Amino acid sequence: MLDIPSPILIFGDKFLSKNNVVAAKKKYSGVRWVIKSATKDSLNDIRMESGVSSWDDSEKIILIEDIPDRKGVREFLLDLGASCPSTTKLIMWDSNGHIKVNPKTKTFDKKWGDFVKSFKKIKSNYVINNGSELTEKDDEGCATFIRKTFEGKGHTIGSREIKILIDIVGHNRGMLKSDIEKMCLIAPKKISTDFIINNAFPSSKEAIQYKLANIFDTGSYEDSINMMERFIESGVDPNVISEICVRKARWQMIAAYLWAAGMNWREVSDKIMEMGKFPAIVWHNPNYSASEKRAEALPFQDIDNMRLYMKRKQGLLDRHFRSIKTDSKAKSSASSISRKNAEVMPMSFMADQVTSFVKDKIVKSNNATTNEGREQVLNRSIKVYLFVQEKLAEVRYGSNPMQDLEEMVRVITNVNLKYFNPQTTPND
Amino acid sequence: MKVGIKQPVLMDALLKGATAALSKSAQSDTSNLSILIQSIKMTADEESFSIESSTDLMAVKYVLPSSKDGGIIVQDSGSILIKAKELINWVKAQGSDSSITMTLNKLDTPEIINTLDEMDVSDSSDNFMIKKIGSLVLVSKDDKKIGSKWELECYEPDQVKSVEFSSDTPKSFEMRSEQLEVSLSKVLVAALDNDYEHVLDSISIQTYNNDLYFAATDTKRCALYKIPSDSVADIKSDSPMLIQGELLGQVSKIINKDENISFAFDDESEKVYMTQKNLKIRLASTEKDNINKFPNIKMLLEKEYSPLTSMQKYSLNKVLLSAALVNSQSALFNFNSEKETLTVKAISEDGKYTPTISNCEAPTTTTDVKVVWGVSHLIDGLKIIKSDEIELKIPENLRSVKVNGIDDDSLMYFAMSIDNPKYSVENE
Repeated sequence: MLDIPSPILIFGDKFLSKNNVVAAKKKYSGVRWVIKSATKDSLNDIRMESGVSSWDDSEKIILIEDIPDRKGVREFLLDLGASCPSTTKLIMWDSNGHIKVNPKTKTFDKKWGDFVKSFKKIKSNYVINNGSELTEKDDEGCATFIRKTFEGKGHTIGSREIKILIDIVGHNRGMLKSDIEKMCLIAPKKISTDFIINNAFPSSKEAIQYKLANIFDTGSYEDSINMMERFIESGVDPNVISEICVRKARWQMIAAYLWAAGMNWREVSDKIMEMGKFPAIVWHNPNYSASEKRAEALPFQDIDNMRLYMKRKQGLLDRHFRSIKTDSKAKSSASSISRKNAEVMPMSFMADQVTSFVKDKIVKSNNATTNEGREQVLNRSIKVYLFVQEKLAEVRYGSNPMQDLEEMVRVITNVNLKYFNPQTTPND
Repeated sequence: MKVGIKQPVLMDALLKGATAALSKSAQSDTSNLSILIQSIKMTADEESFSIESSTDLMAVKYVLPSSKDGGIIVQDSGSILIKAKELINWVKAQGSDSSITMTLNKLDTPEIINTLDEMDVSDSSDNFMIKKIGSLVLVSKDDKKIGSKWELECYEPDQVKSVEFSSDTPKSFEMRSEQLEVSLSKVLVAALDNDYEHVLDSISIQTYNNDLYFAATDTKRCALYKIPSDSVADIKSDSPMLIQGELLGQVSKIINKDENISFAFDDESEKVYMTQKNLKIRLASTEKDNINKFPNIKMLLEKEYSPLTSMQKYSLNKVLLSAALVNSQSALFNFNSEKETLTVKAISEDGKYTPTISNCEAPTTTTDVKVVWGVSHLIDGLKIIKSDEIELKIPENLRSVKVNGIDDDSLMYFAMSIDNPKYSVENE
């Protein structure tokens, strides 16, 4: 007699649910599995399959997947679960993801909630709830999931590292779990930022930027090229990488400029974080503290107040604004109209990354602390930026993007100021 | 190599010897060795002319004596590999009164064909290369002096090892060849189209009380055919064989119907050898560990079944077809011994159709029985039973039904009862 309860209901995160099914198939590989689709196979067929036993009374497992959102099917499955013969084990898998928690009400949809409730009343039932899929809006739920998963494996992780992990891997619960499980094999007790950046598997679109930027900041041409080639081989478009290079060079140029203008390194990091935020007059007001800036800027973030601000404070006229026609879908939710953001630094650790590169890899290693040195640092950053900007066009329109990319990387990772000083040569 | 051969002789030899190369698995092969898998080995010497082909599932060798009377004149001995499909298509296009001359036009140095486009020939291992040794010049001419000429590439014959048709394996039994096709037509209906373990898509050949049986089952029903004793000889082994139905189907088409065929089973190598005078065939058997997953027919043959009724096949078929309109998978069969009638009630699981009730005469019904059987299972059974009058028998526990022709017990068809609570109210 098989030691599994029956009927079993599996629902929630698709990745984890599939893992449950695969694990069960592996564990009970000696038993005959019959797979039925509650959408494609007829209910008559499923009933017959569950009601008929084999010649030698051997047990079988029927996996019912592809459950449609139909009342008749739900009622049938409940009836089937309650009346299935003991030699047949039933597993019902909500592979279409109908059973999920509404993020607003934090409860199941009524019809599926009733289904789960009735299922739990069936004798010897077993329910596997793998949790709802995480969304980009549910950062809190995602963070709790990551923290608990790490804690369950004896590791601690801070909120900053959690945020980075989400940025790299994305909000897919299954991907996060799988990544955490792999990382925990080699992870230190306390998870550090570098550990996440170096070991998390890049699944989100921003991940490439973090990974590449991290390597560029080591100043190693070979490592940077290797990483870049790995991304290209795995299907990343050369245009994406060239844009990352340009963005990276631009941020370094800003950091170098701010430092050359006399700011200390802490101020440089903070200033970079304020970059691109609206309204600039608030964010760049030296008389406001960070919290005051946030409070002052908040009212101007919606479209109407932003327009009012620009008219009253910046003297723009009505004719300077243009109404853009929106489609019917957008009209129904006017509040969804938002301004196009300027480039902002996504996370504070990245501002630190940029600042520390300029500070440690360029200024310190070249001993460029004098006024002349500051000028050289800025000069290098401008040259690097202009070069990679030019190469970006060549990657887009040229015929040999790999060579252009390699040249971009060579320049970005070159921290020797002598290369950028017209008065000297590297051999001096 | 130079051979002159009559078109019908060559065509017949190709259709037999090239069976493995023409099989679905060989023709759909996309590996770098597909040319070899889809080719036949043709060998000619003073004594014989042979064509052979092989895959991991099947190997066939057809040998004819080289004699003018037999339509084969070997002028130069030799051996080649040549693509089967192309050769057959050309030979087929020649008239049956044509004589064909095949001459090997050998290259001075074998040419290496690199089957992997991107691989450097000089750098790759022999495993990925095929040696072309020349071309076979095909010339045909008939009585009306209509001729045709063509050339096909030939490959080094040593690249494919000839299959050794073991002569050490003791013969299991011998049977009349025509019986193979008959047996398959009787039992294949109960087999699945495909089973990854090759148990339920295979034909089991078993012995019981010195009789030879072919059996197939999909676990819900079983068809069992006893080979007439005058069609079997030399039953020397009682080891059950299990061979994929599709393979046996191919064999049944190429064997010589006027000649007996002998079977030998090597359970160590999991191969079945089938031999006729000029034809040698090797088929892959189902894996040793899985052979026992097919039920022993003794269990069915020794189970006590009591007569339930005997009735016209036409009547039962009619009520079954009516029931199948509502539920082809299960229906309630109600036998009334007093009225000598059978009532079949079918209920649709999804409520799409209203229940249907059909009835017919069931003379000599011995007992009142209410049981749920698979409608399509019984319809399939009736298709293979040739008698106009059939007999239904049931065991004491009613878990199955045995159907056979009233004057023919060589074919027995068993179908399992179904546990369907939808009909339980009717049962009470």
